[in-house]
Amino acid sequence: MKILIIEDDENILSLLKRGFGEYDYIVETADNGEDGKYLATLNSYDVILLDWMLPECSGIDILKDLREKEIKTPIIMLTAKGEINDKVLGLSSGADDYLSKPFSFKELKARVEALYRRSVASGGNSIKIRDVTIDIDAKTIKKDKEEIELSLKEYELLLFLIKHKNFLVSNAMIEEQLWGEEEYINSNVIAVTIYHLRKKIGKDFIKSFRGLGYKVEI
Amino acid sequence: MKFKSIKTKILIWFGAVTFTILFVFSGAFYYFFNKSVNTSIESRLYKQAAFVKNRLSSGANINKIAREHLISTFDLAIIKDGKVLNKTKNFDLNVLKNKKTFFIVDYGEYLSAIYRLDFKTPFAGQVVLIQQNIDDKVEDLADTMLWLDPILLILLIFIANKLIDKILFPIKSITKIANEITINSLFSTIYEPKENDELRELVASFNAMIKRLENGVKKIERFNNDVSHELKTPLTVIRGEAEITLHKPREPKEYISCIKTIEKEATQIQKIVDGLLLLARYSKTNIKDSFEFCNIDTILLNIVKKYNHSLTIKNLSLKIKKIEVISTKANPLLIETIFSNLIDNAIKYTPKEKNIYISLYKNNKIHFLIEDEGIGISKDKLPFITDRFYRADESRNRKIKGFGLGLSIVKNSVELHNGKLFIESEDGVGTKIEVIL
Repeated sequence: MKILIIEDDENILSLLKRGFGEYDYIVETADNGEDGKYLATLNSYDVILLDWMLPECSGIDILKDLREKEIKTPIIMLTAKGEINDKVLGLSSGADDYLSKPFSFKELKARVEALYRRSVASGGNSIKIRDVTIDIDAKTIKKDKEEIELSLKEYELLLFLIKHKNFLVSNAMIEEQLWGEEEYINSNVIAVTIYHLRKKIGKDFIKSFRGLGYKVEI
Repeated sequence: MKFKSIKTKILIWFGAVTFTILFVFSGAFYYFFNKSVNTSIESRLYKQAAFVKNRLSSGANINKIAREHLISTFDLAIIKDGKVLNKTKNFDLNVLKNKKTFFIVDYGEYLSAIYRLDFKTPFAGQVVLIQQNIDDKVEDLADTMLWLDPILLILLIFIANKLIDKILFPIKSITKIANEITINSLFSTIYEPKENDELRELVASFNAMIKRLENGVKKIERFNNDVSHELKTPLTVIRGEAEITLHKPREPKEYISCIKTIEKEATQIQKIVDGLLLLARYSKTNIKDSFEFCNIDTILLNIVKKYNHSLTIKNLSLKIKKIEVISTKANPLLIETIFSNLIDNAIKYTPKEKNIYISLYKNNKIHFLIEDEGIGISKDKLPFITDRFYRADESRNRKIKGFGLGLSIVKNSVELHNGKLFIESEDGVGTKIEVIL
């Protein structure tokens, strides 16, 4: 999963980066509003964590701006403000969730995953496409009621394709989503991962368009 | 008995006073009117009696006198030696029992007036005249007053009631709005009456008070927000660090790094709490109790010594332009805080290898001056830098540690000593701060 954290406090930023990193999330960060807005507009993320009180450009402004630009990435507001009115303002401005500081990391992670589930599996915790069932909470895949073992990258790639079902997903999108910008990968890696995935869950499941990308059709 | 409403009080007082005035006035009027009516009856009867006397002395017969036009409405008797010598037909002999010269007998609807007059010629005797069927004007007047007075009283109270309502209307609206005002809804203002009177003044001062409360509440709200932000951020880090680190077994160096972060954040929280407590502990009313004689110059030199290390690290030179021996009554803790916060700021915001100048002298009042060659403060931010948690460098210089309480504490401490704080600054050139105590 790939998330963007926009937070001006370097301690909280490094903390969240470390925390989510340990769960194999791909974490990108911005320590000010402008950079955050730029990254959120440029790249696609599964979830964005947005601090409310940022210097110069407030979290609410960024939120409104992104929603105006039709960027529908789920956003969780993180803030020291805890009044009902603040929560209402945040949620009505387009935030999907709201968490007051000081928060528990476990809770934040659970909320991030819930939002991710909502965007991939419309809120449920499992997706069934033809004879393949994916349990998002347990991270397990069953084909004809038989469990299939997938590597983390294979699993994430599958989920990414399902999230963008019926759309062509390019190699560049996959690379950015699964490895982030910091990691350098061999161009072959994506093809190899796709190959393993198809072998495990069936060739017809993922359609390949040579030189363009891949697609899951439902 | 106490009446709660001003209106009831005014009405009761007004009613009582009006009632008394009406009563006294009616009584006096009744008395004088009665007297004047009686006098006029008496003088009329006297004239008639005198006329009869004259006629008698000129030898006229009583029947003839009675028939004469002037006294035809009177009854008449002539008395000699206590015996009725002669009388007209309707003369009531009962009236003779009363020996007064003039008196009035009340027959309910009518009055009769009786007058006696002695005469000597043609013989010594008395003329007694009765005027009957006199309209009782006085009684009529008393009757009229008896029903007119209460009506007048009720009417006046009714009018007074309406007038009081009109006058008290702004007070009612003040009460209504004052009842509506809570911390969360300080946005009502009271409608100002048009007349430029005391009530308008009252309403204006109420509105001004609401405005002041509103500003105060806004300040508190902002302060709460600031405090919550400043305290919750380190708390988030402490909680998150512990949670993530405890999530799985780790190498000792990871634990050490986690505990160091927690220690750092805890220190940060402590500094904020100390600062806030310092701001809250003293007020104008209790500061005098904490005053003691202190040597301002010694305090300053001790503080400067404490910052030697920070100065060396940045290769800054702190130059003392002038320092005089000054001893005065003050709160040593706050004086220390003023010096250390100002020197700390100067060191933080002055780039490496630059100069900081300080001077302390007495010239009627105590002056402390600190000038730096630092980054300065822009004009638009200058008015806010003494606000709690305000940081002029918010965006461009997050690397400088601090949470914006320092200058606020300095300002507060200076004001507690009835002193003044002057800040001059130019962006990129430096800042000059003067404290006058």
